Amino acid sequence: MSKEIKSMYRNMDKSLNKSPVAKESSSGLLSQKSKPVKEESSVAEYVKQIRKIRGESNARRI
Amino acid sequence: MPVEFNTEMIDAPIPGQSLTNEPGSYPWEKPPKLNTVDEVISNYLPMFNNEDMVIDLLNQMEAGIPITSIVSLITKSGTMIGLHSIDTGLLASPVLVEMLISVADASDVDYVIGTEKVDSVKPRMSSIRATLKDFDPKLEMPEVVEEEPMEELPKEPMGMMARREV
Repeated sequence: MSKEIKSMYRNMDKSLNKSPVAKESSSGLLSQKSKPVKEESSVAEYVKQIRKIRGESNARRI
Repeated sequence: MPVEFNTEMIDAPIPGQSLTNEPGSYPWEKPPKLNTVDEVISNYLPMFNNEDMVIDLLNQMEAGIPITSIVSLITKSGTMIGLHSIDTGLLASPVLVEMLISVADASDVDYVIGTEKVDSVKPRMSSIRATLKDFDPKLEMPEVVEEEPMEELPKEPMGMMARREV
């Protein structure tokens, strides 16, 4: 299972280090409100937040 | 003549023995208590407020155990006690890895994530410190005595018909 965790972490690291791509908002008639949020994207948000806090605390220590 | 029989052999489980148990008797065969990744993450995060737990984790990281292996152990044990499924544990694992990195950074502990390439792994300061812990620079090194090379004896003829010196 450690192997899977490694590959997952590596993939997430890669995708987070990529430059963000701006998504165009849909002008369709269908409502976007009820769009389900992917669980993986919520994990990526967690990781982003933790990295941000860590970066701030590391900068403060220096 | 009596034959010695190794009794350890019959202590091992019979092939298929695990299938004789009633289904659902193990915690991991029951529906998990936590169903979403958010629930799993919020279950593990208070662990980092427990001082004893953090010290144990830091000791493991300082010993050179990769963070991914530690996280694997944590999520596996969660699955074993029926807390969450393997999938949700795996999905929550990057958050746990990041949390462990943050804890190690805050405590100035060297760590190995486990995703590094083998060639780029450098000796960590903690392991060097541990090696040199008992090193006394004043200690005199014993002189190395060079052994004189042995004189080669003349080879005796080995054949049956060979003449021997008298």
